[in-house]
Amino acid sequence: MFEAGETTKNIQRVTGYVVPVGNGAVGKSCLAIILRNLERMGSTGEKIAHVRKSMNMEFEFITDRFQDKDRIFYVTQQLLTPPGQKELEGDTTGRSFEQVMDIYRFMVRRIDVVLLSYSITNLDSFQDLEFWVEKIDEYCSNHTHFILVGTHLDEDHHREVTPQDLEAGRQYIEFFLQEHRPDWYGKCLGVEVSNQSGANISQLKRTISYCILRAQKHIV
Amino acid sequence: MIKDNLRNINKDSTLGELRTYNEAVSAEVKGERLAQYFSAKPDLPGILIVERDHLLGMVSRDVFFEKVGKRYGVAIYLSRPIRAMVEEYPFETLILPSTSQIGDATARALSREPAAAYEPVVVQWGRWQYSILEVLTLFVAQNFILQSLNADRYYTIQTGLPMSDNEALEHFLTYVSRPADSFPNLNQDYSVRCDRCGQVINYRLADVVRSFPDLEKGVFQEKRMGSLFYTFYIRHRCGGDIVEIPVQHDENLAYRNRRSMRVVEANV
Repeated sequence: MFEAGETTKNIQRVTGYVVPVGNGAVGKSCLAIILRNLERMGSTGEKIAHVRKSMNMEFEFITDRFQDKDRIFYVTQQLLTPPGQKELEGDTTGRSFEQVMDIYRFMVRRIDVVLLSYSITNLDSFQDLEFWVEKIDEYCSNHTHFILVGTHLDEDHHREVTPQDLEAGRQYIEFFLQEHRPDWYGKCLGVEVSNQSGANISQLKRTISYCILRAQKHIV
Repeated sequence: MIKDNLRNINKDSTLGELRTYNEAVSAEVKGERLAQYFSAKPDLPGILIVERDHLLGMVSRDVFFEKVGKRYGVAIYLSRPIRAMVEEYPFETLILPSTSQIGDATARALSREPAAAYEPVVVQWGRWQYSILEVLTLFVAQNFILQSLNADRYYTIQTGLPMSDNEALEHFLTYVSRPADSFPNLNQDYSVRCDRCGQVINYRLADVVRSFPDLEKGVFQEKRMGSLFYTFYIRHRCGGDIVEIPVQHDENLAYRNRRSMRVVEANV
């Protein structure tokens, strides 16, 4: 469990709650699976081949080791993935985001990190994050951190969301949160990943850990 | 003959712009005088009947000859004041102000009982001034308006409004409230492929503007996630249908993405 030289004295265990939100089919469920299987991964394609449309809240957890100077944290990232179907879309094949969040409201009392997921090959999924920020804001607190997660990085040649869009979107979300929550002290970051190739997944995992620790004021 | 007067008629035209007749007689005039009027002017649809300065009613050509043509009609109506016919007139006279729009007036005229649907309409100009409008003139004018509107719509869908590129771009700039120099290139060529027929549709901003007399329906601007986007609805004839393909451009008018097409006119 511990690495060489580590003792229980300088180790802290932290659990954080992470909620990926975004349109359907952007890769939220796949992202959770890939994050969990990062170390044990053979072919990422096999791991996500069986993934189907989410009908209900999905649960995954990941443990990450994060070192800040001489302090070591074992961060358990508890991922709660709601469906990406909006109530207003009227999709009757499963529960909508709103219905699921009503059912699991008691579990999402403290969200440390929101993964605002979109596909870099679908500009609409990025633009719809305005909707998702407004929806999830109800469950957030002043310490909640946000990460804009662009998926499908392996299809960069079909990219519709540019880095300029990402930066403008990041600033928009920060402005939105500062306006709605004057005491918000979180951050809004951006990462682009590929569930297929595994590109930048480690970086995302580390960023989530950093945001959880910062949200819980373990680090500044 | 009627059509000669229709050149300037449009959907906002009123009854005052149509040809009317001012022939009027006193209610004390004998019926044979009206018979002379109708014989002298074959296109006269009716005659106003006045009493002092007031309008008592209207006698149409059809009703006059129908009544006179019946048994004892000549004896009853031709040798007596026309008041007798007005008092037994079978229909209520439809009086409309000269400011009534042609479309509204047509609807009012056609909403009368079937036997009265072709009776002339009395047009009121001022407090005491009236004239007679032949209902056929009204119907032809309405038909002309509908034909023109349909032709305009079809023309717009097919080839666009008759505007030069500069006029179209001026229109766009006014609509989006931005100066021309805030865009890198307003005359850039773009293309998008129709998902149904596979045809590549080439378009420029001016083409989009020309396709929509009401630009709000063809160009939509919105700020999403901190960036300004324009959605252009590209019109295209696909088989027998007219379809629109929504295409998104960013604030510099660079092509960004497209959404699913939609059919706006089927079987044109």
